[in-house]
Amino acid sequence: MATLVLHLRINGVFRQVPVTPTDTLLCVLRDRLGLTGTKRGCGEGECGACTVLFNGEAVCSCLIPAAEAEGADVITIEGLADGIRLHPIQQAFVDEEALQCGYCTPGMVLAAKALLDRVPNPTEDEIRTALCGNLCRCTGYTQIVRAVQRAAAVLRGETLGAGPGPVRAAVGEPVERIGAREKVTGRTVFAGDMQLPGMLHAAVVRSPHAHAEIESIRTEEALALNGVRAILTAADLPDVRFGLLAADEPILAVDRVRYVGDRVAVVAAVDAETALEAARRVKVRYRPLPAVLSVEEAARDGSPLVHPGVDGFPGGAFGMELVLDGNRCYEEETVDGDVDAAFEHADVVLDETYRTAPQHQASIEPHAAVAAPRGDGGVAIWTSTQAPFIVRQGVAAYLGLPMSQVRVVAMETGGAFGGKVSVFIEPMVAALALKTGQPVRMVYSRQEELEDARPRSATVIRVRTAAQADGTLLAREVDFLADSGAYADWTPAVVNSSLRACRGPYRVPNLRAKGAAVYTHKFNTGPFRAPGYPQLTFALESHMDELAAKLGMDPMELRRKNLLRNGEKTFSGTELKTDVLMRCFDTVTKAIADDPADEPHTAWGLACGEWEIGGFPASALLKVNEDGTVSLSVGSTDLTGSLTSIAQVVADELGIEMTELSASCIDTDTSPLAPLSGGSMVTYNMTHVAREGAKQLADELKKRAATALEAKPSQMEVSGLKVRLKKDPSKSVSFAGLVANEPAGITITTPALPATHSFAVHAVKVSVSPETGEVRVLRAISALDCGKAINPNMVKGQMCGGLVQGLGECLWEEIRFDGEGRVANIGFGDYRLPTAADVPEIECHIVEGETSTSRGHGCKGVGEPAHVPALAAAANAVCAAIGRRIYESPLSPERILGA
Amino acid sequence: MAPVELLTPTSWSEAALLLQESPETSAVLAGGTDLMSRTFMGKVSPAPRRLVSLRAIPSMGTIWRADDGSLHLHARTTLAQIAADPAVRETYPALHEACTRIGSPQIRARATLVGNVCSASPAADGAVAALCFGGTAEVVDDHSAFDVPLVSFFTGPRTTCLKPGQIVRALRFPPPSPRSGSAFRRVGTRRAMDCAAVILAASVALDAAGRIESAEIALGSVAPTPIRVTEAETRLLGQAPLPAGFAEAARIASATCDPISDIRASAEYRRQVVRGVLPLVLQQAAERAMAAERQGS
Ligand SMILES: Cc1cc2nc3c(=O)[nH]c(=O)nc-3n(C[C@H](O)[C@H](O)[C@H](O)COP(=O)(O)OP(=O)(O)OC[C@H]3O[C@@H](n4cnc5c(N)ncnc54)[C@H](O)[C@@H]3O)c2cc1C
Ligand code: FES
Ligand code: FES
Repeated sequence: MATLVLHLRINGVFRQVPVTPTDTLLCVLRDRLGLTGTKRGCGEGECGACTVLFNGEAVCSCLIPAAEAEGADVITIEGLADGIRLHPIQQAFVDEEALQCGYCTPGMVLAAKALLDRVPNPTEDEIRTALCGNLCRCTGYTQIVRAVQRAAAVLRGETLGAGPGPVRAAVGEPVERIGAREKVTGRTVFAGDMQLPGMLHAAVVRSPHAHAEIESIRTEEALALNGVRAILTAADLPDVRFGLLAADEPILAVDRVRYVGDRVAVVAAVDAETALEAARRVKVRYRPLPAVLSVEEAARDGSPLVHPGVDGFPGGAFGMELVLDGNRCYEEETVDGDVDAAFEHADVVLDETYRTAPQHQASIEPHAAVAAPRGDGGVAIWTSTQAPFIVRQGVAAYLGLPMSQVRVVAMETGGAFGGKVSVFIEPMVAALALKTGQPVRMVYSRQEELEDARPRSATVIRVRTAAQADGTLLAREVDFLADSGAYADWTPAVVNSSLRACRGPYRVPNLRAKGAAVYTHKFNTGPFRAPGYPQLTFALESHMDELAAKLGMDPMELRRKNLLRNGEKTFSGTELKTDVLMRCFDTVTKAIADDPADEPHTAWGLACGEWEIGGFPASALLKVNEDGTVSLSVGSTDLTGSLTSIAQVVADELGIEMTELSASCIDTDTSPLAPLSGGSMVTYNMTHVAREGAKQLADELKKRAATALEAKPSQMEVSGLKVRLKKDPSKSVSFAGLVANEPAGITITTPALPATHSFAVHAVKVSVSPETGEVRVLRAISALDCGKAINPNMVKGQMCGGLVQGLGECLWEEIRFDGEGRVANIGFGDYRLPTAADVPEIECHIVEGETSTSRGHGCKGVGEPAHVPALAAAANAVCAAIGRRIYESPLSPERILGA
Repeated sequence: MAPVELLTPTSWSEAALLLQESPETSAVLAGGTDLMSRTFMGKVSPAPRRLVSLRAIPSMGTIWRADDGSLHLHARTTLAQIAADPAVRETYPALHEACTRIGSPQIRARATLVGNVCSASPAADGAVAALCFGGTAEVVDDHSAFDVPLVSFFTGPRTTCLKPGQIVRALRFPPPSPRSGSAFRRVGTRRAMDCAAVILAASVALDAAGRIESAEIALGSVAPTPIRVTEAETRLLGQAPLPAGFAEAARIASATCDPISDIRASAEYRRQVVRGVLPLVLQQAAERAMAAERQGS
């Protein structure tokens, strides 16, 4: 391919760059110049992660052919800071915690700069409009808007009141997120940014059929292409199946494909283009077979089987064995109380069925991994994952390696939300690395993300409720059907955990709940933020509003009457020690009462949700460095800022500053074992073990100091990297002195905590256009029971992001399939995430006080509960505004207008 | 496959000649927002191998007015430039609104109105707005220049009357009559970054007696191309600008358009929206016309 030389100024420096005519400006920056701060999220102009300033204007570098940049002046995120001094916009993003995963951040910062260069004092609306081309899946935009406002004030030369600024590393303080500075400057290395010497690029050959037999695969033509190094099919790999719950999924399709996008072969070549071209040249002969696409149809006897000739699968990572009944891979029924009798004596019975669409985690960072062969015959993997130890287990299983030969390094994840738990990309790159003896990188395209990731399962949920005329709930029946897709993945757990929460956070004396996970010929669905709960809560809370209407009651009154109170048992078996749920509810209903929705076609909707935060055995490593500072190592991936909270607890306990503590995660070779980061479990469990560890370390240091000072350990306290006498602080020994002759460090493991509960109440105010069914979200309020907010900024971040994801699920997001089972959404243009312009500021009320048993100050997880009732609250608002119930999400303009 | 060469001619005729060399696989590159994203997603077939950039062709300007008062927009004039132009905002509000609503700031900084029109997407906001101002495309080839009225520019989904080697050099709009007003509305799901389910634009001119002297109604996403609904327009002529007439025009428009069902909306929804929203758009255009008249007198 002909090369040409491009002349342009990048970050103030004139550069001559050899490029190929197919390069975009984004390729030039990332691949030719190594400026990987500019991110790729889609390649189609939809996400804005690739934003740079091009002759002063914000543009998508993925849409600019390299040659069009001849003579241009380009500023990338790397060019903004002055040495290590952050640009005021970057500083404001750090101060306001306007970033979580950080993948959208470089583009967001530059879009903000383009705005502030033009409009020094923008309104909130102008900011939201200016940022509408930059998708953020994590933050919900509230803190981003604040950061831009703050930066604008600083740039105008205004002196600000006491801002976040540097704070003590104490629990309860808005301590700066670990890694925030790297993220705002584009220095964070994500898996897709990794570049190793001799690295190859991988591409996948995918099934065009929802169900077909593979008759033959011919690779000669593809292998003949210049630059192709290897092509693997199932025949080249051990015949092994694996999966999160059960071992039912091969890494490449064996004999049969089960969904459009199913992986058939995988190619490694010298560059990504060649790999893609080779993948196109792999000739697969299929014999198409009848496919079953609807979950209800698949559950019926006699429909085509997704796994014919098999009656079960052994356990996978979580050891759940499956017994198949047709396409049903999991079934369960629980009964509590005399349900039938209660229904017989009820004054009112309501029986409705609700449906939810599959929704995508849609992290702006696609799945990405790099694998390199090791000298011992093993493999090292750098990947974007929530579950590095499960990746290690999966790769070891698939490739028949001992775990000692599989090293997994969890890179910064550019958004996950459950989508980066399942193991599928890593075994492919690992196998290619072992085959070629070279490092191999794979990065999914946005379309591959839509076709072969692990979205939220579609559900069909029938709810029957019996109530007394005064609104007292008597009994409930639920039938919960979840579309598992081609493999079980996480869906049986979705069913299992959802069935436990069928009462909602209410007193329902009698319950019968049954459910099933059903295979269909579609991509497998997996964990997505509070798996099953947004769907279930949509059904239950729609049902509560309808029941209120049927009873002639105010829906708020119906809820108030039945909400769990102090002393009552929650669904997770805990007993309420306070009236926390009512406090959340009152906070939100008061805000609603203060702002009645009087305008036409406008209404509030409210929903209550709950989540169980599970316990797991946790461990941590702590050691004192030679100068007395401390290192902390944990095995849990840092998704939500959890590492910061964990470190904060340790720093607080040891009386040191964040700068005196280094915290790291995770490398499976050296980090202590931890389960996956998800389910809001990390902060709950890890602050517990970390605080316990810090205490033990402090005790050890106190003991040593006591000996030196001839006192009792109980008379000592830690402060300022010293141990001193409480009574006479002038008598002290430095940490450094205490470890000079004998290193001090501990490895600590704590047994699993009991599970705990958390509640959230959301309210959303919308207006609906009567002519078009378009919805505008006017206000959104979140109240969250979090025990103790270790870092209030991060709790708010979860609340804002969780609520906005729910708004997206309610109003815009839906993966659709055509009649052949092909995903019909093309890119982010057809899978519409909320933009900054679509959502209001999220009003957050942190409700503390109902503490957990975690020694991490009684904190609870917040990521999932903050999301659970959002879809339901928004749906209730829309239905109230139009005066009619919609039984299916998303509540699209069409359904609103036409239903 | 991505394009393999990008050429930057310095004159229109050179550009036209380069395009003619391999007409099947060459494409004009303006802002590239449509072409690059669609090529990347495999939606352009056959994928262009040669891109002919308009970047280096000298121009008379970006936005200018001729002596007869007509507005000229160059092939390289971006949506952001048009959106920021006070005169366009004043005189062609529907066009202004369309240009401010397309894509994101990043898209508008690169995308051109001419590219929007030439993309001939049925959902091209700018094309719909341009249709209701009696716009003309100034076309050049390797040896001549000629005019094509926008009403006869679109020939099918993503096809225009342009032959290989023909390039739109500029768009031209006659000055609107003093008692006229226009309005624009796009209907979709998100407020931003949304390929619209229905696009509506209208311009209305009143006579001295306050009756409708001329009306132009353009719709997008309800037919294979952006369309004018002349039957509905005709129905308004000579009438007072009143809701009943607007509703009747909307009924006709809804019945005569030819929408499809796709991932964005069903055909029925689109018709319903035309029926419900067009009266509001016409109303706003008429109100602006009356305001213009008051200002003028
Ligand atoms: C994320 C995103 C969002 C978008 N949102 C919208 C939206 O909301 N509304 C909307 O209408 N569009 C939207 N678009 C489509 C596109 O951005 C617009 O149509 C834009 O105006 C196209 O202009 P351009 O200069 O980039 O055209 P280009 O991509 O350069 O060209 C478009 C087509 O026209 C041809 N062409 C260009 N100039 C000429 C010429 N002078 N003579 C002959 N042929 C020519 C090209 O060969 C090509 O086929 C969006 C695109 C993206 C990527
Ligand atoms: S990568 Fe360019 S907009 Fe998404
Ligand atoms: S912080 Fe914006 S996408 Fe993660």
